[in-house]
Amino acid sequence: MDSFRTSAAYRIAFTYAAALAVAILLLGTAVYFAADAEFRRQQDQAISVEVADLIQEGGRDELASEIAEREKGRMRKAFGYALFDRDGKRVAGALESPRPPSGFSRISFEDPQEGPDTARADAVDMANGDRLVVAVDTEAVESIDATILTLFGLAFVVVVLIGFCSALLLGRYLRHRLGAISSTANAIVAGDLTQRMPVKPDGDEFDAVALALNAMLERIARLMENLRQVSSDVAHDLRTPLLRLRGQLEQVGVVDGAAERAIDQGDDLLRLFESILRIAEVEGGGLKQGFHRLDLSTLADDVADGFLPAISDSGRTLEWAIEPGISVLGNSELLAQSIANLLDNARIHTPPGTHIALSLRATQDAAILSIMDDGPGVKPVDQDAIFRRFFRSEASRTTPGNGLGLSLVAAVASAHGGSVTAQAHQSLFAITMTLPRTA
Amino acid sequence: MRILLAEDNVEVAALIRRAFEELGHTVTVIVDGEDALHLGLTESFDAMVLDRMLPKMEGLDVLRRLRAANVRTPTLVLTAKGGISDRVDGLDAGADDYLIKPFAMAELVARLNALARRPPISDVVTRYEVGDIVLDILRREVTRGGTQIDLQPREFSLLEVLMRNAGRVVTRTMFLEEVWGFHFDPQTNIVESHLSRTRSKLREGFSDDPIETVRGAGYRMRDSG
Repeated sequence: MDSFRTSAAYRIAFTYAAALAVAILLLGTAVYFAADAEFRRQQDQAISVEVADLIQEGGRDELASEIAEREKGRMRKAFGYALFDRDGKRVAGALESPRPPSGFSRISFEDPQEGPDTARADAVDMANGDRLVVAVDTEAVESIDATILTLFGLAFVVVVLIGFCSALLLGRYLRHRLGAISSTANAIVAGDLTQRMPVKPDGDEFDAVALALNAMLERIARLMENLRQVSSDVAHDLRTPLLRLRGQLEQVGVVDGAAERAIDQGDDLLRLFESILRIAEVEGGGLKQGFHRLDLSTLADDVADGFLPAISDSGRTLEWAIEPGISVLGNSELLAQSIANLLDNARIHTPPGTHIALSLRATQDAAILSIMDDGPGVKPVDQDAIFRRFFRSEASRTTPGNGLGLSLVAAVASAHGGSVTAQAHQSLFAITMTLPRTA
Repeated sequence: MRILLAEDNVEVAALIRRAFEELGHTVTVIVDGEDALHLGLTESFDAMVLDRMLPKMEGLDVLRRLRAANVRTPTLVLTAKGGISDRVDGLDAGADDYLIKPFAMAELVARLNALARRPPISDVVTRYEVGDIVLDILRREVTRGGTQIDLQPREFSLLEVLMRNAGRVVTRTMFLEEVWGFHFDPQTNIVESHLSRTRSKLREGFSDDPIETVRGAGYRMRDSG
């Protein structure tokens, strides 16, 4: 039973049931008093009508005979009559009661069958000093009152019972739903990050909470994965360049130019480190606070313009078609670096003579940046893989680079709420970055 | 020149010290933030190199306090944090330049040289003259020996950086930051391509190249001549 006291679910359910019972109790009381008052008012009105009716009968004898008539009549049961003279002596009517004061009052009388009883009576003084009393047994009202009380009493008991039972069920249900969430959370705490909160298809509030928690878990899992990835990147993919560096250092003093090559190798390593950390930083999130509205058209134009001489020198051509005035919310350095990486790739992975084109256009709500070339392209099987870290296609094994350029582009696109894809159109290969556009 | 170096890693400090002393500079090495602040306030230096992560007091706090005390010594902040917002924090604290560890020693030397000789901000320089080359910033005009040379905007900026640092080495990354605003190093040799165009334009009709390549470090504009 201890769980009943500590469980919020049970506490809420029982409180709710108790509130329902109190409501029934209040309703019963109100109905009881309202009905009672109404019945008594109607009774008084019936008496008044009867009295008014009788008063019209002129003298004592006519009244007495009318009373006798009515007592015999079909209304006999409803009213009791008595006519008292000035001295309080009953001169007509069968109502066995002492003379009441004038006006409405509660009287006791002697019921021929039931013995002493109470009744509601109206006493009116006649012109001749007689007092006419018309009374109605209050038994009818009392029995209605009793019925109301019984009904509400029963309703109260039933509500308390139903309330108790449903409180138990509701409490169990709530504990069950919340228990599923907390046991999943405990499993996650215990180290199983693949666990997810159960979500039912009906989509109630619990499912909304579970969905939110699952989204949070996805994010955490991605961050953890990111961290694991960085650690494994550092462990595996830095080994090769370090080994190369070691080899070059061994040749220093033996082979001409080995020292310079070792320095270059060291610089490559530093760049590799920077790239890994940059990707980790972008994927880690939290950059959004530093985002500001920027003119992507100008930025793309600047980067393309900055690359033009180098690409021309390498024997390739670069053209760009940029719609002016396209704005996005973002980080200009990361976007510039992404465009630079795409241009780097288009230059490095194509033979001289390749035509490279950059295009930036806007749709209703997106900025679409494409870098195309008519080089050898990427095999369809590799088109998704090229965005993975350290991915090097068979064809690019011998070209410079670390396989991180497109990973950064993908991370930057995703950090900006956009995406990046690779497509081949006939002889053209294109990488397209889509970013949400600001007005 | 006299350099204050606040760096708690003894090996790194020794490397930096040796690099500067080989060039004839005097280096005072400090290993914690409080001493750096004390020395920065009481003695005068030509340049400071502050590591961000110092014992007792963070490098940026030291710098903030020095700047608050009106110490305007050109300062380069070293950091292991390469985050996008970290650089902004460093510059906000009053750093004149920011270098991410690990770095090439030639890079640090070049940057500190550029900083220490940088003219005060109050001096608005609108014209540089090195040898027979004149660069007019306001008119966006370059002449060599009186002959006008037609440079593209980026070629002009490159030359401006070189002339401002005439006689001193300017590294690739310094060019990337100053001319392109890139705080990353693209694989494509954009600096080299622009420089070679600038150089060939300057050389046209002349026998000598006023810009020389310093192997493993960068480029330098010949100061005399």
